[in-house]
Amino acid sequence: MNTLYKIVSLIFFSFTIGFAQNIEFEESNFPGKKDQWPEVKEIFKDGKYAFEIGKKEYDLMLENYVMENIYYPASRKDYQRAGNVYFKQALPLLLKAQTFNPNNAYLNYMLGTTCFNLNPQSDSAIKFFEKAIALKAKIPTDVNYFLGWAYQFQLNWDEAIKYYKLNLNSLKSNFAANELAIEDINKKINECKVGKKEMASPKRIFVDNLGENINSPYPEYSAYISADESMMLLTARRENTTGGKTDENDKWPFEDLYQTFKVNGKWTKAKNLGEVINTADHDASSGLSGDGSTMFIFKYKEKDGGDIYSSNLLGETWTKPEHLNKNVNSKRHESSVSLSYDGKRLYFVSDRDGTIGDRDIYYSDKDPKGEWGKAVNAGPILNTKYGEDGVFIHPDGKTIYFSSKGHNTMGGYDIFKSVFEKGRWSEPENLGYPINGPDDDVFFVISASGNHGYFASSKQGGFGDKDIYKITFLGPEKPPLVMNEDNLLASVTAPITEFKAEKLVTNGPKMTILKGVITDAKTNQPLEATIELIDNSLNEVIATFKSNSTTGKYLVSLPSGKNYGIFVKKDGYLFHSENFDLKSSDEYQEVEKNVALKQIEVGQSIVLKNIFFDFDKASLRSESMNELNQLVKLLTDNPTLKIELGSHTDSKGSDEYNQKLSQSRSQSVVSYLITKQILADRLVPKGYGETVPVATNETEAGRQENRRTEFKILSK
Amino acid sequence: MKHLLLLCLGFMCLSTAAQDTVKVKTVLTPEQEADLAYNDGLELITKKDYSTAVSQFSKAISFKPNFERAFYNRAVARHELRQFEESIQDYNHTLLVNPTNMEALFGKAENFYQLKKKDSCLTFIHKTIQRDSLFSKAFYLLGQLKFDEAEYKEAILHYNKAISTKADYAYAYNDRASAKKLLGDDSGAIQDYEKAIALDPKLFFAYNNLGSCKRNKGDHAGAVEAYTKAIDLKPDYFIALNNRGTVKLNTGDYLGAMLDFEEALRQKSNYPLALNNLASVFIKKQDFKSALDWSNKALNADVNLGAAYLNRGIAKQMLRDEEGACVDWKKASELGIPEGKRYHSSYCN
Repeated sequence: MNTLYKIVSLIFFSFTIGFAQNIEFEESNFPGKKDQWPEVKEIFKDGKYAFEIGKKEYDLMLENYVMENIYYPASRKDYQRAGNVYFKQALPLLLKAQTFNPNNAYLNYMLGTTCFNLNPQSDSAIKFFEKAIALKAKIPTDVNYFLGWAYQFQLNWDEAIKYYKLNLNSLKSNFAANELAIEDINKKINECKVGKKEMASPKRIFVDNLGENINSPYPEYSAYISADESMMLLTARRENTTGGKTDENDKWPFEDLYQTFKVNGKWTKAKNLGEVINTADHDASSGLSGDGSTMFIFKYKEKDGGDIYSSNLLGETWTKPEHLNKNVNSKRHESSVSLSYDGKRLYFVSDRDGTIGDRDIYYSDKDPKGEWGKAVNAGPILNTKYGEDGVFIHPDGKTIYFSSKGHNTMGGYDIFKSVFEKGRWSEPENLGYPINGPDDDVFFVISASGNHGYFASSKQGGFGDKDIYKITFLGPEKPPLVMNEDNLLASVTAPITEFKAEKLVTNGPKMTILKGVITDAKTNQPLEATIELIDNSLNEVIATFKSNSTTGKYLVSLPSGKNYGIFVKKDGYLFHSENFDLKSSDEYQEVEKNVALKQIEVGQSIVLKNIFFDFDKASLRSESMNELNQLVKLLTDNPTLKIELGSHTDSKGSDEYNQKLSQSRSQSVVSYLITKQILADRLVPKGYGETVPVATNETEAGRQENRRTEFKILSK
Repeated sequence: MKHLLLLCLGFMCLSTAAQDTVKVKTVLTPEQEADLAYNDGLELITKKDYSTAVSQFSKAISFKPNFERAFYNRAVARHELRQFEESIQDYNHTLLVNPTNMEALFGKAENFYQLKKKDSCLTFIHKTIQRDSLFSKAFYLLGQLKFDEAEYKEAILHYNKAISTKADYAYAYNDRASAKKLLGDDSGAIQDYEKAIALDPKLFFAYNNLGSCKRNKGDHAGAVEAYTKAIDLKPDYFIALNNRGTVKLNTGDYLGAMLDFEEALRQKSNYPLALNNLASVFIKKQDFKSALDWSNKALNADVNLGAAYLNRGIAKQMLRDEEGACVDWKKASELGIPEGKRYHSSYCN
């Protein structure tokens, strides 16, 4: 009996669900609820009123957007939360009305639209839309559009395509009037196809919320990291914002910049950068140089549409932000800056006149006077008509990451990667799922090692609104190493072991990060010194950096494929040189090199690491010129200095031969200096042969260290 | 001779039993004593009781100081006991008595080989060949010397000579196959292993080696068949069990692989390779906690097992212990695993 009851109940319930009919909000339809009717009638009326104002605002915004851009908005961000103030008011009223009459199609449509606009990532809208359609009453045809979009947000690509296509059919009847709407739906259908494809082969990553030291119930976003991931800048809109004011447009506190440091692998509590950087208006992080010594700030002013400012780290203090020149900042909106590894090119985003689309990526090169030159559009391979944002040029100097609403997105902004090779940018490549999804994925930065990325997201489970997340890239699946052994020799019992690993293809960044601390050799005090980066093959200074005056810290990015000379200089000190000969195939590495600069004193000596001779000869190679000229400058600046030029060999070859070769080589250096007007009596050539090794001669690395040219101060 | 002596002794015993009151003392000649002990020694060699065999041959020599065969067989027994220096002394005595004993001359070469005295080994190999240019074992040992030096092409030339002088030389076919395998000629190796097996169907290790060549060529079914044959011939052959497991692992038969590795461990407890390979199975199955446990067991069994560090690093990375993974990959790199170096440089900065 009990079972029979259950079956009957189930049939009745199914019938109610499957065959429910639309019930209009009319008193006659609720004869048994007369006592509730007056109140519900008012609630429904108020909810409907609030909804329709919100929807009207939404539609108006849409209309304006289309008029201005000649295409539909491609990102949630473009809607600027239009109508949400009213949707928020409508929601509780509509929900209350729905408990009274769940079978009104229009009410369900209103609830679906409201829920979706207030929180597109929640699946709550779908059940209302489905019900609205099932009730088979006349409702706005955009129900299919919203339902498709809601499914897209739920990663249900097939259902999304189904409803988009239904909406497409209804629009096709008047193609001319609906051309742009059709284009929009076709774009969304393509997004779903891309999403389905990307989801079929998800990227191997871990995504972690950076935790309460960084994130809060308020929005945090626009994270920028130094190349070695030791420092991060971010933007937050917290209650205690500088000036304490709220932006009337969206009711959130104004933006402020925050800074955090990685200590023992953990990010410290993000600290407001204070009133030198932050004002009572919007101040947002917009970029950071690889060495963490220059930050870029976005400041919004109505008259200039938002401009970029820069600030430098002097010791432990950031300087007052300076407005970048007119080549970079136009009267329109500029934001999102990324500085190339050598500090000579600035990539940024602007919506100035002449863009291909909404916002485009531009770049500006530093002229010989150190000023930013005329902005150049990065071109149609990167820029689309739908708009780009969040540009980030990797310290390898050739890989650009950016967000785009065009290209092959899965919806809204997706993050793309393109590599500059053979004089052009490669076709932008979607970073894939789960890095990208149907919502806006923007402001992505990646560490120089390529192992970690940082981005902001409003995904569920965070601390509130947008939070900053860290991506750990695991790379291709690592096959385990399997071990075999065989008894290969019949008369020998010991087996021979073999390792078997499947081939693994990795494609990480090819570059070196050189970092360390520059100090005074005698006092160990940190020094602010100049670091010159030389392309030895061209004998050209590629970039100049400074170490931090308080900490002595420096960081230089060296893309693979060049022979670099590095000079660390400071007045009153002997310069220090390093050489990095990096092949194009050299994988990512971090080299920590602390440099203790020696004061110019009698007896001090240094190794000249960028002096090269032809093999087995005393003739100087052209790559040596920069270092030799540094020496010329030192001797010119200190005209009383008398030095010994000592040349050393490794132990290969006979003692006699090595002695002779080293003497000839030291003489070659002296001869060069004499041609540069350094008096011969200030220079003493000395060949040491193999008599003073500084490393073992048993290894190639050791022998290389032993083959060297040194100079020693004989008198001041 | 031995049987005759035993018959006599048996007869004497029976006689003693029949006549309780009469005690008969049999007196053997030194020659007979020597023969008796020598025969015992031979019997003991067949039973692989080399120590007692050496005693018996020594006894034989004490009765007959120029007993060439006793010296020779004591040398053989001492070689088996890895008493190579003593073995050489016995071969010297053999050669003093009979300078034409080619086996003794070559035996010295074999002992010098074991003592890693390559020059002396070569001297006696060449002396052997000078006296008998068809002495196949000498060419085989020359091949082995080259094999040890990883000069596989040279080794093959010597194995060719060994085979040309002894057409049914199964060991030479096996070893030539191994040289070909290490030169990357899996097809040539397979032919030679198959020939070795045809000549001596009990060569379990040749089946195992054949399986490994077939595995290299991607013939997984053939590899499993060959390993299975090796295991049938020698059920405790843990090496073939482990190898068969790796083929099953590569073909996605994780359960079959696990059963083989577990059986290999039953035959040889704490076999580091099987422990490591069990970790590999769990990595493939994405069960990284179990992979970590098995890697730890492999490292407990062999603290210098580079592959186990690499695999434990993989498991640790997936268990969110990035730092631990980097430490393990660095260690794997230090132990000569190239992937360890690659992972460390790619993921640990």
